[in-house]
Amino acid sequence: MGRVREPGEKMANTVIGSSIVIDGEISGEEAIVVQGTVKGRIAISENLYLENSSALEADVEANTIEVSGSVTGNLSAQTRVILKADAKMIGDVRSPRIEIADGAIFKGQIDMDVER
Amino acid sequence: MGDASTIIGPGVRISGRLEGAEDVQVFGSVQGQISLPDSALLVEKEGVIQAEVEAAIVEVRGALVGKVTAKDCVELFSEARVIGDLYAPRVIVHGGALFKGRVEVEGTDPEGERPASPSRAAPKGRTTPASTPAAATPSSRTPTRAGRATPTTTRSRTTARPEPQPEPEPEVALEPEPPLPPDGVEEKAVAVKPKG
Repeated sequence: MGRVREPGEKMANTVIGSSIVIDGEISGEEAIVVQGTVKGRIAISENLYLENSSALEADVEANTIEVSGSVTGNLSAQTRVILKADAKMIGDVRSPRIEIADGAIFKGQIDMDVER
Repeated sequence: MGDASTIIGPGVRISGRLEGAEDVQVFGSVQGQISLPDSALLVEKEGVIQAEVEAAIVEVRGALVGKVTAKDCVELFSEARVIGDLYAPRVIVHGGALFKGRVEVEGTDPEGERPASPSRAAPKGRTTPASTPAAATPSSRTPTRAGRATPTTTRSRTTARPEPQPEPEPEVALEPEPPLPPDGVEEKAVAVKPKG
């Protein structure tokens, strides 16, 4: 999966593979790795990993959101949003912390003034 | 088929449409539509599916409500709880599986095989006495279903591999047609026997 897990980080049980297209809503209490396409909405209380091959047209709520693929939509994180070097993101980010790597493409607004 | 590349974990719920070209293993819940025309859908013990399902292979160990169309095979394992209609060239029901609904084994096209339905739909109505709670009814029905599904499966396998299998034929001949109208007729037949 090419992703370094932080120590103590929960391993994601849920993987949306690269050929999968989901049109609708994903919710839950579990970390999710997305390699495929999701249109609609994702709302989870754990971390969300959007890998290189992923394509989102969705509004997202999660604990931490790590983006390597392309996203069109708004991200709202409880802890942090990380836009990796290969991220292509159009939309607004709402999160107390944000990281944008060199090379990431981003167009949108950032709101870090989040009451927690 | 063993290693599904897509896994829906137990804490995840999806509602909407899910489609793709890889095996999907569900421990969580999926509502809506699932379309995996050339791949397998594996519904695990904790998995809950409320959806119209189209796949090459469907294996159920959990709960499934909806219409299932499989290109190749539907297999209900002993832990499965299924309500809905199954359309597939092969349908396998293991002992212990709970199932309520219609099965059409011959073809993958639901519209194509109508003639088969009346004889099967009728016993279904008969086995549902005054809409008893689902838990009681299917368990009593399961053996009948399993018994019926297995010979039919063997038959369609025969088509693929033309080995002579004389057994299924008489079994099928004995089983499906008589049991329904006979309810009344049977008694007459029994009454006739002593006379003659």
